Amino acid sequence: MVDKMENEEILNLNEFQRDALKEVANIGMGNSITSLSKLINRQVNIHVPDLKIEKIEDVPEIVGSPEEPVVGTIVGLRGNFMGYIAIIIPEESAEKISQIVMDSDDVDLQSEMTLSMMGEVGQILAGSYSSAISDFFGINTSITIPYTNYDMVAAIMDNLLIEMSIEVDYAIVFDTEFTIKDEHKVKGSFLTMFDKSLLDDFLERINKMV
Amino acid sequence: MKLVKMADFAVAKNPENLKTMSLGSCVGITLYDPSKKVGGLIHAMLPSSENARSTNNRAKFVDTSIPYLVDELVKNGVAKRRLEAKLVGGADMFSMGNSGTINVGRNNVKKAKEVLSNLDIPLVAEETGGNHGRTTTMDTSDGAVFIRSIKEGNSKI
Repeated sequence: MVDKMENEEILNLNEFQRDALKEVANIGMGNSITSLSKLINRQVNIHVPDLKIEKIEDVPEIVGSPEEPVVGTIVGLRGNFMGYIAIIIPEESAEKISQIVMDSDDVDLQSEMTLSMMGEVGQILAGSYSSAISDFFGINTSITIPYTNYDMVAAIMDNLLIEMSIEVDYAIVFDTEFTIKDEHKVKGSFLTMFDKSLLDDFLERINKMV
Repeated sequence: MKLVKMADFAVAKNPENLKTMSLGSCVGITLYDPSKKVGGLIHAMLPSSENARSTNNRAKFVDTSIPYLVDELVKNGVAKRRLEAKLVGGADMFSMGNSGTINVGRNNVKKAKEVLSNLDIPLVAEETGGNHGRTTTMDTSDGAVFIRSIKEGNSKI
């Protein structure tokens, strides 16, 4: 059994726990990237997730310059726990992905149609992610509808961080970069944020497996 | 230039200015004393500390951050009666076609106005609401607040 962790103790995960959590994220990401690859019919590479445990207030700094223009999609993970997936795609890459998916060179990131399409892409990625994790643990999860906007990255993230900060002081963040092969400029980040109760639950389930 | 992070605040005296980046639903609150050319800037996340688990960080909540900043300004030789306030941010970032998220932006702005009114600090200008992010810079030479948005252009209040 894993002891109930207090917020501060989240900072002291041992190496085994860190590796196990990384593996969970890897499973989710693998499934998610396969979906993206099918959707755009191109090979997509991912960098192995790096696990970070950050104070909620410090999360914006993980995603780089706060003012960077991005298309951001937020999807909530629901079930017996709370988590969020944020898919952050820099402006140029978002244009490229929109062009591929909509099969048009003329895309406007501020148009409702483009944002709605990017939201759908985000929902597909988040759905694949959550179903892989659900299968792995044999639990039920669902995802919320996607919330998408084009704006400064930190402004897009703050609503989600505010919601999380009501419940937790620290977030477990997996910052995964994906790149599309042959399209040098296309990249994005996939941030998964879990709250403490989900982390407790994950670790308990992992401990039972080994 | 002093940078203010999320859930943080700072005080500066002319010629040093204050800046906070990418306010979404968060609210930026400036307090300024024109005679001393001293100002303060808060980047608050949530309206109220009342039901919070932890209130260690007073800059995180609108209701605790404003009195906290007033105290700090008074320590810097400012008279409370000379303070003027401006508000920036409090957007609803995902208002397009979707509903269901808590409109924390609107609540942040509402709470800030309530707290300022209780402290008898006049609100002289605001640029709040909408669904876009705002980077906010305060010029401590005259208390002007510059707002940068990548969608709505730049403005000054």
